Amino acid sequence: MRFFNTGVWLRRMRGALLILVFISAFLYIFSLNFRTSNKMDVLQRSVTETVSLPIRLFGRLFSSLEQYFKDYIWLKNLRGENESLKREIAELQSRVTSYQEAYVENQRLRRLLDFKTSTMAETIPAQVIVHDLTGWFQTLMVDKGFRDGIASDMPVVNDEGVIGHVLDVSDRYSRVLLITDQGSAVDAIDQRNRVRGILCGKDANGCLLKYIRGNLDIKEGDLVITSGKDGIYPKGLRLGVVHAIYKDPVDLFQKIDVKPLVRLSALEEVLIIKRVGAGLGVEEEDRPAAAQPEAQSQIQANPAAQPHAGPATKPVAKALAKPPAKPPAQTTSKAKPQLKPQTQTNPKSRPQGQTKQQNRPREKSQTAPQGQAKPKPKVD
Amino acid sequence: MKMIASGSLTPGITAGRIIKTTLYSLFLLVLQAHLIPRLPYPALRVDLLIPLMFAIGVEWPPLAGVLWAGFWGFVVDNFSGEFWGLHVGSYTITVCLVNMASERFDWRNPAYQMGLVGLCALGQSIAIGLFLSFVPMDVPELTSIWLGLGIRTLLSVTIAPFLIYPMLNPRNTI
Repeated sequence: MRFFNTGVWLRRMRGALLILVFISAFLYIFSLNFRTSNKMDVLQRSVTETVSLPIRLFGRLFSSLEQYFKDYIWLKNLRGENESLKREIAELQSRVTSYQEAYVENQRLRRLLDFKTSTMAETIPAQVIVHDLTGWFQTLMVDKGFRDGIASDMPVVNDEGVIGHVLDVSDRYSRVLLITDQGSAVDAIDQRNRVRGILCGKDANGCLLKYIRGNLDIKEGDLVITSGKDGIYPKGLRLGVVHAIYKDPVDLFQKIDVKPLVRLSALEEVLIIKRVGAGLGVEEEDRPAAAQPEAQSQIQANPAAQPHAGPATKPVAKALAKPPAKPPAQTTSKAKPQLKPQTQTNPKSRPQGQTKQQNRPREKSQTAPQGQAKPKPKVD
Repeated sequence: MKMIASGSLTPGITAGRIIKTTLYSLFLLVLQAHLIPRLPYPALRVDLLIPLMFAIGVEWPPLAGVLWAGFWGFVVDNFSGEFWGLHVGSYTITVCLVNMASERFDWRNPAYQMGLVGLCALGQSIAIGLFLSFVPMDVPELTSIWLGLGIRTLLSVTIAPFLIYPMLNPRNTI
């Protein structure tokens, strides 16, 4: 009787085994398309952790080369640019002065109404490592991961507005899905009249605001902000500006093109808003003392000021490492437009009852825990 | 597959060639990561690694080439984060096609190089186009996507010989 020779058997079955291995590997890779966003698996993590480092190093080299060319070769445009920048600075300085006035007024009104800040959340600054390699999808990789406390579905913003949310997390890196990706959907409202819709990605340059009925009043230039009702993004973050509106008489909904406020193709640093517990907001008492020197200086300047009277976006603006020498009003003036949705909640701002048409009945119960309009019995 | 199964993993591959190929692959990956997404028009966003896989298919044994293609495909898929399997599939198919047709064509001829890379880039572009078309969109948008993908394919064809040339071993003349 012949002995069963494993070596011979393996050689004979080599082709079949290889086919099996290749099919299994491809099925595994293809199955990644259908998984829910979560922490990356071992294979993805190892590839991400290993290859990110050389990509990052080469990226720095490229950046320095690019900077060299910008500095020394394009010098001829510098004089004209300098003049225009000087003019712009003068204009901006006057605008900052008016913003400071508005900021102080806003603080006073806020104290009177005792509005609680809804987006007062801890943020983690991160650096963009690489954008989508193919250039056809809207994702990017940042240098903060599971070890830094990042989890999937955390909102990613910068001082200009919303960038996207965390899709997958590795140990030291995370993948971010941009709001312009076709797979992205953000619950959004028009800041002017509180009309609610879903902001979906269209292409690298824009988004679509969907499910806005044809008879509702949307205008070009309207600011679109997050509604805070999708469970990912805090309320009042700037998403984009209405760029174009197409109304089809036979269509129930109008087609609204929204241009993101953030230049997503030129991102370098981002802020990841860390969720705390089930809610998105962080109570003022929970914030670390180092995160609120501005609020403290405000209190010192005006003892009547209450600790939770700061603007919602103050930590976001602070975590961008602004120069400490800047006056506080300048730091916060950039984020002022985000405060508008909260300050424009008077009945006049929604005269056509559009919010009632759009919002579901549970809206009230959802907005209540965020503490937007908690009346205060005593106001100094 | 039979051809890959009958091939050996390592003959003809020296340490120097592995290092050279690794560095060249890494260089192209870095270019792909830092240069291609910055290009202003989607039509210019070509895949630089398809010509590399062509060269791998020519120079390396079939099995090693397929493994190499699978690895770099997974790397690109991983940094892309969407449509998993697109790059693994396209790179692997490129290597397989090169090996299958290597007896009929002289792959040192740039015309053949452009032809096969064009074919693979066309397949990849069609896959991307179909993936992007899942989301309902207007005819002009759809047309612009497909037009961009078409131009991308043509651009891939044009640059293919330049990317393949550094990888081809001059001693392996037929």
